[in-house]
Amino acid sequence: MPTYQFRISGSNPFVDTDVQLRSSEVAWEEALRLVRDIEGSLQPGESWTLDVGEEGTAIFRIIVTTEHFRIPERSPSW
Amino acid sequence: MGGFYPWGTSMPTEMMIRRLRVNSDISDDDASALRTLPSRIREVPEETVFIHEGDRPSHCCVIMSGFAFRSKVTEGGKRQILSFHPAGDLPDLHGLLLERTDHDLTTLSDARLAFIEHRHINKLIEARPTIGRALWRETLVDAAIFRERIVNLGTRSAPARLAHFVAELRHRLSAVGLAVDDEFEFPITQAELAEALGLSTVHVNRVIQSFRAAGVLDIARSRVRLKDIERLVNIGGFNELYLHAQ
Repeated sequence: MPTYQFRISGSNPFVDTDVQLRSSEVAWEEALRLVRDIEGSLQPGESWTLDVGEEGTAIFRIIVTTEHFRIPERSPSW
Repeated sequence: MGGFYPWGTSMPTEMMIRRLRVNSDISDDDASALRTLPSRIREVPEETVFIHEGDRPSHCCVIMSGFAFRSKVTEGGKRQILSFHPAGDLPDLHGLLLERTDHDLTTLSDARLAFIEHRHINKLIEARPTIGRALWRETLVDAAIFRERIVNLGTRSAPARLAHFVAELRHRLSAVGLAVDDEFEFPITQAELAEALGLSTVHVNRVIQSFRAAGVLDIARSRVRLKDIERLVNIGGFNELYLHAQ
């Protein structure tokens, strides 16, 4: 099985360079699921990028950007 | 692996009695009666489906050693792991009353399984109602564990899901003496953990690495080592009430 690399850049960077998956289609599904897993901790104003590589060559990029238009008086409770 | 356990597992029903006693009062007489149940023992290699969805089982299975898990595969081909079962568990006890199995049962590790014919269990239940109540209680606790899993998968963050899952597993293994010194054997891959927790494999790796760095727990080479149980329990919001231990 090919090896895939998942690289998250942003406030909590993370790299997993050795994920064995059947195909790039499965890697895309994994990337979508990973986006869902990470979005739960996203804070207003934060942005991050997920780069997916197949055997060291970039194949997908997902960019999530948020904008913060209001400064809350207290820490947000979401 | 056998050396890790402080007792022999040669008697098929010994671990089952130990398990039943976690949730129910089993008298010595009832325990002796359980020991008379005839069983057929099978050594099953890891990752083997030993009961398939749609099967009509004529036996109940007792896990004597190793682990098994229940799972279902969706129409899209994705597998959801539903529950894990250590030694002592009877993961297809419902087969006594429900004719067809509605999920797969698979070995997580090499496992020794004992199969007891339904008619022998039914005879014992008729002769000894307290055993019938104990088996009924097992299925009720099983359902309570599923309720908790719905809460876990539906509402908790990824770190909290993993923390709750490990805290529950440790509690269940400790109850039957399979977790010693906050360390236990659990031969699971990150991909299987992802299938159980509804997460991506990459994120499971990420959460495990963050727990390792924070000194909460470590999962490596088929062993789980708990470094800070209090934090684990707090992160996962684990409350043992739903396990109904007596």
